[in-house]
Amino acid sequence: MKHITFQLNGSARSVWVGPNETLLDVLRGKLGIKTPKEGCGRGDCGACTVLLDGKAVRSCLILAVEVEGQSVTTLEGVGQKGPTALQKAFIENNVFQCGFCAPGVILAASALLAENPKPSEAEVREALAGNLCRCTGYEPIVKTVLAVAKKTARQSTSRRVRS
Amino acid sequence: MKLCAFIRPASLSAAHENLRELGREGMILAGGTALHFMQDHTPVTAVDIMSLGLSFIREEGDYYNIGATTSLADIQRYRAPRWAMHEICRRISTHQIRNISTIGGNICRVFPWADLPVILLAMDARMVIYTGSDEEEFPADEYFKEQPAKRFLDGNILTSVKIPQLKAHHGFGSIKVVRAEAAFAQVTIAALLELDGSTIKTARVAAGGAIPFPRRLPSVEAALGGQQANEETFKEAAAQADADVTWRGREGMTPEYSRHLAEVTIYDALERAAAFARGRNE
Amino acid sequence: MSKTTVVGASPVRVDGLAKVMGSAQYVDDLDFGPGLLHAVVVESTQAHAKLKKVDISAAEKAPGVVRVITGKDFPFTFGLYMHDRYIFPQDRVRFVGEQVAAVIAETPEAALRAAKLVKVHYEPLPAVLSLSDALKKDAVLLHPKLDTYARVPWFYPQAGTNIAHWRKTRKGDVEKGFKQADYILEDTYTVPRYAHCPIEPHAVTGLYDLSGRLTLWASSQSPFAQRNVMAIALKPLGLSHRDIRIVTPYVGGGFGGKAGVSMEIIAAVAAIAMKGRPVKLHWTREQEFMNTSQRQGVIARVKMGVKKSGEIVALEHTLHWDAGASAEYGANVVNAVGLSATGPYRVPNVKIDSVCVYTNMPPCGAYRGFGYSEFHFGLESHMTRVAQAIGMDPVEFRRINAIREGDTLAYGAPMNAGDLQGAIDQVAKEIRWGKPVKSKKSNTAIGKGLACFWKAPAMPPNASSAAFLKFNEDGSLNLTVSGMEIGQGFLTVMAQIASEVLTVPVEKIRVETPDTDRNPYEWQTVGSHVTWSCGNAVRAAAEEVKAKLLATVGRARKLKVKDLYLADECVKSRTDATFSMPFREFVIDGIMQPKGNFIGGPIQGSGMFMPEFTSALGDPATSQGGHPNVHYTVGCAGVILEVDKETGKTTILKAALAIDAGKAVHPELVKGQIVGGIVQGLATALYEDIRYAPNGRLLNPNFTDYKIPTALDCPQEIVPIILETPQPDGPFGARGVAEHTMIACAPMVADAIADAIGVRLQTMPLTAEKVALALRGIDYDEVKGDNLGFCFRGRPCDYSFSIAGQ
Repeated sequence: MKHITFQLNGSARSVWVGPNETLLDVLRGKLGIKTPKEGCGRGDCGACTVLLDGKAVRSCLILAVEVEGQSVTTLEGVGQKGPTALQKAFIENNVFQCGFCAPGVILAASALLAENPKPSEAEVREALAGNLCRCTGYEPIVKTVLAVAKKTARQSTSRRVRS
Repeated sequence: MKLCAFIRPASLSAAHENLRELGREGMILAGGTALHFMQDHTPVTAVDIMSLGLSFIREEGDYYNIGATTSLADIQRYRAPRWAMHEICRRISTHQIRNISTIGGNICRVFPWADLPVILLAMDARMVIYTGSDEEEFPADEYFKEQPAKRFLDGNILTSVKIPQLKAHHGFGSIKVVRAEAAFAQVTIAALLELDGSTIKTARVAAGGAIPFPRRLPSVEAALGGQQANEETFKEAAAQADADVTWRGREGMTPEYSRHLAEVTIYDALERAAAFARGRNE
Repeated sequence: MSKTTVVGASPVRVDGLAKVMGSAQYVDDLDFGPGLLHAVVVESTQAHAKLKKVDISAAEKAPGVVRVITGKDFPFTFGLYMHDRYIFPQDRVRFVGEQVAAVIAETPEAALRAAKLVKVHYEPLPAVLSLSDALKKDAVLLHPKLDTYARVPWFYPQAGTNIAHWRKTRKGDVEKGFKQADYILEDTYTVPRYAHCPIEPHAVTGLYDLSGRLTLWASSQSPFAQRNVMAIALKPLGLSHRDIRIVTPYVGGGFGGKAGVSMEIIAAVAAIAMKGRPVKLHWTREQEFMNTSQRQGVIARVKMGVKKSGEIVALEHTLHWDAGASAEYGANVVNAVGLSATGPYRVPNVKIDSVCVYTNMPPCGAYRGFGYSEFHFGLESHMTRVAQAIGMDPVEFRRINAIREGDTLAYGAPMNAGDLQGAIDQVAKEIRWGKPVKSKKSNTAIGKGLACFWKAPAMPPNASSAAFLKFNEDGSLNLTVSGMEIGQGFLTVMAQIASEVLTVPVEKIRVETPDTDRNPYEWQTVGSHVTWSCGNAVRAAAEEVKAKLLATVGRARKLKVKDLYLADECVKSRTDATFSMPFREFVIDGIMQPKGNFIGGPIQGSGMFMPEFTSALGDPATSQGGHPNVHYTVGCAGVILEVDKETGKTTILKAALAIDAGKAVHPELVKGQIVGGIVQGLATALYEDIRYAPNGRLLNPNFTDYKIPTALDCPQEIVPIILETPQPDGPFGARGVAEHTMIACAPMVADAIADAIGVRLQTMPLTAEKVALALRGIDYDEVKGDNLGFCFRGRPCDYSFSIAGQ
């Protein structure tokens, strides 16, 4: 067992982990973080997506020992101060159906918008292609991400104009 | 494999030493892993090389030097004049995988469906291997002759991949054909054309997917050399691939379709390479 | 229909906040503390074999193991409609992956390690891996005791064969009909198996507490049906309905795969074996593919006779279904198709044989569409071919034959309301039918296709729904129902219906997922029937609450009830505009009288619904005389696609789908069903494929090799169209839409591919490979080999079945 410390949703957390434990298992089983879901356990479905130093990754393909000293964000950490603009739009547009893929999709979309605030539809689809959703046909997800990006761009432009 | 221990050496030489001592029980960790759900239960120690400064893309003379732990996402994002690596990287798996998967991890063990070996073969890339005292370079033809595993005995570590910088007279195209977008390749083809005006001076064409191991297609290349870079030449050359390989069924496909798809894809990749030479670089 | 304000609007989903903030809990998210045990099953490596011995001695001694259970401990059968499924196999295993034993241990790793130590001794039997093997004379039988299994009276298993059920529907005189025909076309269509692929695999935690109460927390579409099936199966252990409780948190997708009972009963007996400690059984993705249920494969023979004028005069539709190792649920899919395989057309002379066949493949069951997607592929492909053969436009041909309200259905009952003509018109307009599009690229061709569809819920005649409503002090409501929120938005729709009657806004109505001890009865969340059925129950409950609100105020304020009405969460008066009693002032505490006493008290209501007009007691030889289906929902879909003539790859440019929802209670959710259903349907049409090895082992039980669509695999444009011809017995006129949206996908794609390049594919999926090979004159069936497809070996179009008595 190895004692590791990393930033989890903005706070330092320490935990004993075995060398073959995945980040997903440690988050869910030892740290009470339940939004990363296990849908396949082999890196195909994206339901276990978390942000590692801001990048969307699959927590079932990462060993917990690897994240020592890094920063991990899960959906629990995203809405700590209330829903983000993206989350609000996902709620208002009734985007998700069963909701099992939602944590992963929201994190992947958040990471995309942080890196690329004005993505094209193709870029949104590419960024979300690692998150399987069997319910929605993806269209409401993609439309909402694009709408939020457009709105955010408009707001930041108007702020610049005022200042 | 069963991961029983994890070490994160502080330097390349320390990593080499660790791996040399561990022998068959050592396993390099280069960004994420699938080891924990593999069936084999041999105990191994993971040696994490992600903090050794091997994540970089540098222009060095006639090469782009890509560090072994550079993520596929970083290669996909990188832009430079006549840079062509992003084209295939955006087609490898999905964004979340590309964020952790590294070029080194991708080519240390070659799977039949792997895309990067096909690209590196066509590009005539060079793999740089650290041997503890020295660095050795292997051209792609030699490196991908068989499973590269034996090059990593005695603690040797792949440290970077050198991609030749393409010039104005070069055309490059790579195409991956899939059943659905995030699937493994049914067929992957890469083609590098060296042109003299409209004449093909030399050609390197490689294939992967529906064959057991990625490889070059010498008969296709021979049919291109000295010919005019046009539709007719490409069609003719694509039809030669059967002389080099026997196509297998993949992803539920019949060998007949693999064969056909490979021919179509070789043609498309050559067209793409010709377009690249004319200035296309998407 | 009176004007509605909430019904027909698209409010924010009641579960939206929880799902987007991450607080929605699924079964695997529930914590059971350090006492939790983990079960892992030992799986059969044989497709068909006698079970000689299950040696658990080594596994029992393994570290961390607390108990190993086998068929000796629980020798029971179970099933939804027929008891042909075994908790653990007794004398024989029937498919690769079947659970032979379960190891219960302190950790999942310990259970997994010990499961490998269980030694199973098999004596191989010939495996029945194709329909022709299953149906040949002297075929090896999967269920020699078939005639002894308990079953519903409308199933007709054929003892001494592998036929689990045979639904025969006869109307008119089909031979005479063919004699009247100017043109007859007969051909075969093949549909392989498919997998549901909810992103959440099945998971259950069971606790059999020391008082003898069994609670299961399950990812389920059918908590009450599960309780019932388990109470019947486990009766020998002394359990009854009162002892069993099923709690269902949010479900991460179902698509029919979480209906009925599959692995849940293994968790139940594991819990019973470990009285006092909770036991978790969490299916891997591989097990989700292999050992829950799959969609049945089918070989369908369609023979259609038409007049030159375009009228269909006779239809003979013979379907042989690959049900797998048990048919306890799948046989009802077969039954439903046997009643409805005319499609949404008026056909005077009908002969349908829908035959459910056991094979040594994983069991099959309900899958979104319940057999209708499967038979529409052949029927709708055939419709287009017949039209073209008589020189008629395929859309015009459909218009001529489209079923109308009052037409006599194949089983003799009248057709309900539904605007199929309108749906055809709208879709034809949307895809600009009749106006060919030329591709701008030399290597591609563009084609169009259009297909109609219909579907009825397949339910027992006494399937029912119930609802409870209660007020809280602040005038908010708790609505309890037991339909499942599986993503479709059921909870929101139920809140809307209560809101419409009671004027309480949707956001003040809390509706949550069920617990069979606390929530009222619901048969199952299947068949796209809960909006209609449970919606009626909720409306009845709301009407009861409304009556109590009015009566309480009338009595307390000495007003005539007929002068009172509800508006804006108040009781108001038609005769006194100033009168207003807000609900929150009296719904719990009552209304104070001059003397200080109170009138009223907590206001609550209940409602239930059962379609009392239905009956499954038709004549077994003809299906005439009963009224098995409550109603059909009809619609039409169309597609424009582009085919690459070199690679064979199909790209969907545009899809449009029109459906008659009766009344779209929540139009945005209906559109969500259309878009999601089309994407799922197109994937089954184009590339999803289950592959088996010649020994019956599933080759691609994972998302690496069984590809479901990603965000990059979607049509460029999807146009959802809603029509509203009210369903007279539906809540505000509503009927179901959810499954229907994928039914037309395969035939419309097949038609459009034929339109684009002249290649008619009759075997799903319609892959790039089949297109490319056909364009080059290569016969796919000739070259495909043995391990590529599934259990339909050889050339499906040459199939003939030697069944006696047909």
